Amino acid sequence: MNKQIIRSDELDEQYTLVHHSSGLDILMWKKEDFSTVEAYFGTRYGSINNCFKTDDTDGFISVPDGIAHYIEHKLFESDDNSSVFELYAETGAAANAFTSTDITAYYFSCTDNYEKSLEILLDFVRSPYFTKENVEKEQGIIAQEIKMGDDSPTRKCFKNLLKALYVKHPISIDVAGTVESIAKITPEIMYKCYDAFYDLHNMVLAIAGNIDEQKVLEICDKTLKASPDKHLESFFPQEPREVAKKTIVETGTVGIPVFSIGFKADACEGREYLKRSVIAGMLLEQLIGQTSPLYNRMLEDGLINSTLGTYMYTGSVKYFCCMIEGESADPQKVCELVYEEIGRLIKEGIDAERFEIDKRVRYGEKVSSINDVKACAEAMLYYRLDSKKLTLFDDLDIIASLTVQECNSMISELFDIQRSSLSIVTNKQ
Amino acid sequence: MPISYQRKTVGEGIALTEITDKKFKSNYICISFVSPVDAVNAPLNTLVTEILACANAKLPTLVDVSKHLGYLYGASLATRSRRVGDMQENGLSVEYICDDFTINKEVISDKAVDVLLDCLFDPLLENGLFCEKYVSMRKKELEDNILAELNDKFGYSNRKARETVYEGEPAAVSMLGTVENARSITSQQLMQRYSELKSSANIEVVMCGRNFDSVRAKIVDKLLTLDRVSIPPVTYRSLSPLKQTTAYKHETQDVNQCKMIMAFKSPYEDIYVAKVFAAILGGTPTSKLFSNVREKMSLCYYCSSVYADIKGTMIVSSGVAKENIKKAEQAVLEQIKAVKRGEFTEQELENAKIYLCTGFKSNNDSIYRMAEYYIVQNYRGTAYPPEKACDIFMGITRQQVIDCANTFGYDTFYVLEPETEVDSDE
Repeated sequence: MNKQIIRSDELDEQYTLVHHSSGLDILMWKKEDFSTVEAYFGTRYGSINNCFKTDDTDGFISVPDGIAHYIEHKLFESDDNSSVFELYAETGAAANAFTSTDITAYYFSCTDNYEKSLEILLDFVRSPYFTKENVEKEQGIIAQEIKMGDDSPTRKCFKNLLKALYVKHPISIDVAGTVESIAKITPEIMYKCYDAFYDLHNMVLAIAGNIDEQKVLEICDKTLKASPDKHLESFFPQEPREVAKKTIVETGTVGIPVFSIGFKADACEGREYLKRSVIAGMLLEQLIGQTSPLYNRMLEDGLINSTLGTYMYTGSVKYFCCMIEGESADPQKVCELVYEEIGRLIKEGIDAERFEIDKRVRYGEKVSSINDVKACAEAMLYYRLDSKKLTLFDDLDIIASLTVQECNSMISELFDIQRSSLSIVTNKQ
Repeated sequence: MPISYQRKTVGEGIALTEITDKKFKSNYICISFVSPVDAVNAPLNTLVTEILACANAKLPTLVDVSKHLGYLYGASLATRSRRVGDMQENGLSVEYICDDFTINKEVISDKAVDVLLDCLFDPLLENGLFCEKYVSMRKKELEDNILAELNDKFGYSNRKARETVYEGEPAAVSMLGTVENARSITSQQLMQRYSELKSSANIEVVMCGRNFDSVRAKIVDKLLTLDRVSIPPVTYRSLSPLKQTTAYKHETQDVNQCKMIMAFKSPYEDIYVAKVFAAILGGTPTSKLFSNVREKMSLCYYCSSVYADIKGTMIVSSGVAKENIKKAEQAVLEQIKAVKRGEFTEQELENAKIYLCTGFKSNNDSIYRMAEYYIVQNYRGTAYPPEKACDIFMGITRQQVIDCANTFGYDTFYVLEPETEVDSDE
């Protein structure tokens, strides 16, 4: 067992990373004086992992879309027909799970008896029970979940944007799959996927709160058996540089059209990935953040409203996009103005005063982000699942040393208009 | 517990609640005007607070405000407009990192509080009225928000259901109003409303975080400069009367999944017992609605209940396929009847109580949740710490829950459903 303390002197905070003998990476953040304990047990497995191989498979195998999410639902059932929630009910923990494009995680939050809740978490995620009956029974519920997602214009707009940006990459596949794809899911395929992706070498446990680290490790020792690394490998098709579609428009019942503009960039990893993420965030602020001339001009002209937001949609090694989304009566015009502003930034460079202000904003965000236990547990999980080469505090140095010149040099690459798409959901005419 | 809680009256109709805990790295301060909901003033109140957040006499543009907040390590200024039963709260809040955690312990707390106070009480005026540029901008945004209500099917169905559940009561009034009304609002009306809020609304100041020693006096001094009339205390709890017969409302839209909302009302006094009832019924993943209506019967993706103590109303919400609406309604009613008959185990009762306690105690760990927790305590006229509320929960008996459940009557059924017909087996 290998133990490492990850510390930030600036923030006066630290957490511990243990490479457990079972193959699992365990992250622990002791937060004294806090009442809650939050724990996440996650795997590098999401909707994009639909083609993979391990030592146990005969080469690469393809599986139906939506299966990672399906497994997430079914792991809450056990062989005695009881629900995991009944076990948690006795400890008082609130438990749930989520599946994204590249992560599935199971978590609980509690204020008492975290040890018992942790045992439940480690046990049920390691005890799959898939039968023909219980798999079929779930189809109706998941079909309802898919339909519910389809009723959100914002979600529809985002999904369409990914389809427009990516030609081959499975990132454009909906996390829950489709009603048709989930109908093809069987217990046998689920076990194959489970065995591949729920290998402890592919998983992380992140726990934060007023915990006793030694106790956490004892529970892991007791519950988790050492397992051989199955050398899991996912296959992703080579994604072309260009986008699939420049514009995608869908109609729905909306009071005001919603839009998303995305910029596809090359994926990267390690410190370069983190640095690129910081730069992308700062460039989005320069381009259309609340202190930008473009944002304020469009707001005053009534072209946008304050729902406008920006974010990065990224996965280490796998994908990297910068996104702008909001509501507007004229999304095409918004997109034109964004493209114009990119041209101006490439020509004139970013605003140095606002750049310095933004560095302070990012430092403040970091302090605020570790203000509660849930955020700490989540951050440890995401960082570790995303990249084994990064720690939660690495971006503080990057922010401190970043220069205007470095940001300027990345504008063309991160905001390449040729590699961008616009998605709109508008009202039926 | 290291938490310190204090609440005191600092002026005519002005109360200050201060909650501090050294474990936090940031501070949160919220100043709200509390006034009765009415259809005329609700959109005006919303608009006034949005305009106040744009600029002030010292920072005369939105860009100036945003840059200044950015310089203060990304301090955030937010508007707060929400309904609390038949009352509404409108105000601004600021959140900033504590001076102990800025680079070289730079002092920013007083500057962050200045932004809040200047925006609220020293607005940017032109000829005695709010700056026209920001009035137009926020009016347009109000219009957008009214139109965009359709975009969020959850929010939309909840708002539409509320209109029927609380028909004829202030709680049914829209906080945004209509597009026509938004367009017709004048700068004079806004200024008049702003003056009224400052002079005659109750003012609630809530501070939650690490330390407020350096800013408390500044806030109180500013509030004491306001010209205040005599203001009666607010009574938040205003029970909604049960309809004589259940109201049924069906609405169609281009949706894939039906949103079914059912309301049940009761004059039962003890809100903690009612919360346990709602938790047993549909407030937890082992509740009757989740384990029976969703899991065993597979009738819906979600099905849960929540008790709004201010109005004495329990709302059951679910996402259902159109062909299952009738079955789902009957299934929900059957689960309620089961609780009324006492068909729940000691374990179910215990689980619901423990689940509620976990939620209450976890409020201790976030400045927002802790602030919100004590704001709600204030609505109830109590100041119980979460631990005291948990003691109350744990003392509740099975018979209390049965008695409470039997006081609830079925008031409203609302469904937002697809326009197309579906095959039905009924």
